[in-house]
Amino acid sequence: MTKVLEDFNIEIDENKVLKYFGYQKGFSSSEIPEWNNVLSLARKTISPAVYNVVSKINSVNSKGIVQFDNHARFKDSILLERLNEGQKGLFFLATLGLRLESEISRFLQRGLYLEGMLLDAMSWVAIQDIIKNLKKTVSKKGTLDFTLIPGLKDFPLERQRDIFRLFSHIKKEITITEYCMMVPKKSVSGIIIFH
Amino acid sequence: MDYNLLSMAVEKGDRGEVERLTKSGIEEGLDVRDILDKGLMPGFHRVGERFKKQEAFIPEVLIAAKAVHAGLNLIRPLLKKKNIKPLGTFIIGTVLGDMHDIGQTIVAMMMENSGFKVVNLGVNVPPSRFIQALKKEEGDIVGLSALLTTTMVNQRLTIEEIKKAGIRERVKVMIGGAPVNQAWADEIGADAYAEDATTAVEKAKELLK
Repeated sequence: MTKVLEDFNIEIDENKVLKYFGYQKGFSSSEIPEWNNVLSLARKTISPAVYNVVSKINSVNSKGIVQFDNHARFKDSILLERLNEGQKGLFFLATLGLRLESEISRFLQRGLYLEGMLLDAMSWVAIQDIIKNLKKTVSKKGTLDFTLIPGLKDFPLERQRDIFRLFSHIKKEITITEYCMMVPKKSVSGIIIFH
Repeated sequence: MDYNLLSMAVEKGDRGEVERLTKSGIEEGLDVRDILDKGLMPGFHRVGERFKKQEAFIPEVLIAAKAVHAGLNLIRPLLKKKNIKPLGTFIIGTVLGDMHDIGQTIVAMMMENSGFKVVNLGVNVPPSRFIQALKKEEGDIVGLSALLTTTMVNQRLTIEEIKKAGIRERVKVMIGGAPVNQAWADEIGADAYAEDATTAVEKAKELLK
């Protein structure tokens, strides 16, 4: 059954934002004058929606097709190598919402590049936090094996469409383009594999 | 006005000081080209160098860029009056199907700060719009940005369309974006690949030599 997580507290870890830019430990965000304003804007504008569904792997066949109980079907060499029958997958689709994206664009249009970049970086850290929270949820159900995010490492971006399809029956605020890009851009999908 | 002080103010990202020194240089009757070349640019260039050595990061580059901009705003009308030509015309956009704007916006700003005339076509730009702008603006370089593995193919498509339009010989093509690299640039016949905005400026200058 598809679930929408409510009361989803997102933490924006300042150190992670600094690390995203390349700063080492010891650098303080106070050296960036715009930091506090942008951080408070990020906290105000993020309106997350997180959907997830858990399904068991039904079969993995020699042609590289992995079939889940929820009819999700992937043909992917990465999945074939790493998945076994009996494992489960928590499929997720999450967004930080459109408002955040509009604020980033607004900054850029006004020539406030630093503010736009900071807000963008903070939103990526917020997305990481969503994934961390989902992993926490999974760890209560079993032992976490690995996470697949379309477009990251060797897991093709095109798989985003397959994951998206699992949530097609619910009305959601995320859409996907023909190039597998999610709108709002600050959205993420993936599969957390566990047993 | 001391060019070194102006340069240092840019490096520190001190907008107020950059504005004050630039104004004072103009009032003293200094050549605006010199204010740009001996004051604003060297400071910005030094931040770029530190960025390449990983001694400075994007926020510092952008803080310095803001400071340069404060000075540029004051001298731009005077540069125009003196009919000082830009280094070249740079057309930039994110290719068809891709709506990522941050990277290309930063490149556009850095190019502008470095003396290029920039025409930013925005995101999700079909090849026809790149070609139209290259013809209309007499663009010297076109920058094609792509942030997705599914849209980087449209960098190739755009280059092919530029060839078909018969303007490839006079236009240099640069590409950038997270999934692309030099090998991809070679494969699709781009003239240069830039991994970040400061490299993009350097490569654009090299391409015009």
